[in-house]
Amino acid sequence: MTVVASNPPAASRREQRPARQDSPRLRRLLQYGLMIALIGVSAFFALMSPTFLTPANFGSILVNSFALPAIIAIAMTLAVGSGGIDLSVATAIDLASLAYVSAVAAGWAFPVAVLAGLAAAALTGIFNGLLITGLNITPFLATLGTLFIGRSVQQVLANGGNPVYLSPSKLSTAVKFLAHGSFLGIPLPLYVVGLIALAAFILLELTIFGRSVRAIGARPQVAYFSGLKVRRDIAWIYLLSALVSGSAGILLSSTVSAYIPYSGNAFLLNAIGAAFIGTTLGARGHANIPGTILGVLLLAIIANGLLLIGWNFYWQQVGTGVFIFLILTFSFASKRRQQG
Amino acid sequence: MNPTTAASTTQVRLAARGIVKSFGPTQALDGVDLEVRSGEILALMGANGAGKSTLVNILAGVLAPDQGTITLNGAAYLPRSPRNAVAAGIATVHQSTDRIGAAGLTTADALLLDRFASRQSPLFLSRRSVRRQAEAIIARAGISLPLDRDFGDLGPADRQLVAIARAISADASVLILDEPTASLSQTEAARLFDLLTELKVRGLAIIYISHRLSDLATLADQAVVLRGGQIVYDATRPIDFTAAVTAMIGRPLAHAHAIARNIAHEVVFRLRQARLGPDTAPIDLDLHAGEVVAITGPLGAGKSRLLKTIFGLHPFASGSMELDSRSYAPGGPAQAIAAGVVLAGEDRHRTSFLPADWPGGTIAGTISLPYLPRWFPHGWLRREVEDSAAEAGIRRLGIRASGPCATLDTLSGGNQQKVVLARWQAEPARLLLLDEPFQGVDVGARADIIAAIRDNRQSATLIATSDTEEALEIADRIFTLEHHRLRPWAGDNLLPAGPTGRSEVA
Repeated sequence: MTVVASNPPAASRREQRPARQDSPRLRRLLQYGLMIALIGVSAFFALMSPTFLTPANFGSILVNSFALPAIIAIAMTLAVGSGGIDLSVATAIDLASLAYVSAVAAGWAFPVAVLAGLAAAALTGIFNGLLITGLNITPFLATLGTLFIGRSVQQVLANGGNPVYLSPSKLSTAVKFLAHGSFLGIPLPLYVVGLIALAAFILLELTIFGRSVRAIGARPQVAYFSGLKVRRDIAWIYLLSALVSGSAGILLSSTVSAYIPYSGNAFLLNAIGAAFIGTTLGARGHANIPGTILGVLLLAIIANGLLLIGWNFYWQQVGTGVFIFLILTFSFASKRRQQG
Repeated sequence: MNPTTAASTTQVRLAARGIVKSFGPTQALDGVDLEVRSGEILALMGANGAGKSTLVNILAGVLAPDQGTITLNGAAYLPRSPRNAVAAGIATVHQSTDRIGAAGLTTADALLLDRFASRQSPLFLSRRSVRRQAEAIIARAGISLPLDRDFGDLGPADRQLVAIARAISADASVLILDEPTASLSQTEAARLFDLLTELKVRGLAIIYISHRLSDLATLADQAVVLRGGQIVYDATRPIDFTAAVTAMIGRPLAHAHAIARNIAHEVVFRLRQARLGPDTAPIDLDLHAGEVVAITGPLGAGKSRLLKTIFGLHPFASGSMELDSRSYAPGGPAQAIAAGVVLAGEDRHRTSFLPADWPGGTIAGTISLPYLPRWFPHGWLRREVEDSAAEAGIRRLGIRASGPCATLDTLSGGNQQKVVLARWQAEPARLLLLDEPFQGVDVGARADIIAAIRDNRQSATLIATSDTEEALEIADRIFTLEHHRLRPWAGDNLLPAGPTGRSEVA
């Protein structure tokens, strides 16, 4: 039995509420807050359902409920990291999908069809950029407006909002490979996610563009006073966000061999959720790609796990909401304890 | 006031014993004893990083001490939060008055915020009842404030008064003021001093932190100097401030004011018939290479606006600017910086620093931010380039920090200001604009900053300060700006020969 000789009340108080800068251990632990949440949620579902931990189930999670949401969440992270938000990711997905499917249906070569899809997505990004930097409309309202306009544009272009299906004979091998192929046993869409995530990570963390954008996101006035080209960088961010979302639209259409109107909307909330979970549960305090990826994974696992343990389909979203509350409550409680 | 006042003047309000606090390996406070008696003003002095802020934060309930005890009015005092501290009777008025209220609230609302936040407040409030309560609060504090004015339009002096009035209405028995006069003009400071003297008579114990010796000489009943986390000087009236400053910086301070020197004839920057507003007087000004020019004047006289206009943040109503004999009309800060005109803004946090947990929140990131395209032409960040630039700045200006990766929130005010200066001296500039560069900067760091500014012989420096003492210490020429009119303060080319009635330090 050893007795700690130091002043016990003071020591225990210090553990309860140390200052922000003198708790590297807790900070480091918080950095893994998302990891801990992921492991906790996975352990819960593994206990509840024997099929959860099987490789087949994880493959299904990654391909069906991770790949596309992750790409769109990366687009969202770019906007959130610059201090804004992009609600029109859904528009970029749909317009890219429509242009790509129409091009394939018209018999255009695969690369040209992809370019057509990206060009359509770029239009929404350029439009957002003009609204935000030219007319000084806040990103939330500007992209919300674009989202509304995008719905009408689809209705007009797709005969009142009808789906466009691709007959299997029209599908080139490239399209099929993109959607269903695999390389070294890993499905191709996951490579696309990996490449986009890596590119976005490098852009945000290792380039001066990323540094500028984060400065704008943190304190726009400091960025402006420091001579950064705030408007130019913001315009680029919304263009990039639209292009990344557009590539998700192309991947989606390739998978389902069709353009389905308004299908982008299904991804919007998930992307916002993942970007903000990644921001909140990390110790960094700002939107970042690794956090977002883990956030998407978390949401995908929750959706999959609830399905496996036999929750009524209609109650799925309630489950997701409750899980988000639980995780964030835990995270904030530990942060509060850390900061006192 | 009443018979108890005389008795209570000797009563110890707040006593701290053996306070120890460390942040990782840094020992911020190393066994500090402090006593504040009611009816006394205690001047808390100390250089950058001496531990003043840590001590104040412990008293205000922001930080918990590692060791030591505090008693308040004889009872043990262990605040668990700032709110707890206020409830116990210790009110702190911080240097930054941003958090006291917000634009959109009236002054009356801001005065009552504590009450709104408490549970005693009714759910619905009529404008009239808010006003009545607010009037009672300022009457009790013995001040006058424009109650219906939007808080966002209040100047720093009035905001400070709001904070103090709120502290008094919360029945504070100890009032802590951190650099209260940093952004006040002399008249406003005088008004504050009257109020503090009045509060003192009423029996409050006041801890007053300031880097302005003249303020301290006017107010302090007792002076305590912190250095390296320990108390190195403690004296009651009459206080020998020369000894206090020597104890504070570890050497005697030997300067009076800027030494007159020869300035090159090369004109760097020229202002011709420039008007800040359509109806204001035109301003003409020539700045020479290596010259330091200060502009003083009361708050709101247009000093900041003049600097910001030169920096391209606003256009002049009319007139023209020349930089190195060429026409200069920046469309914004980016163009100004590219031309070599740089501004260190009045509020460091709002104009120069990024939050600690964001990329670029370090010393290295702060210094490199304006030069990203210049230093990294291929677009790839290279940490070693940033870090070596930061290390050079840290060495040159004697910045006390753990290294280039230290975040700004770990630095004291003086070191933060040195980082801002290191940023704008990292690349040769033509014209350096400094708006209130000595806010929250202690005497020791101030001397370093003055030396760094005056050593710069390539560019011209234009400084806006509401403090003529500061202007005298640093400038080759001094102007005053009043009602948007620029006048020489004391001759055009030379400083006044002798000391001009200001409190000499050495």
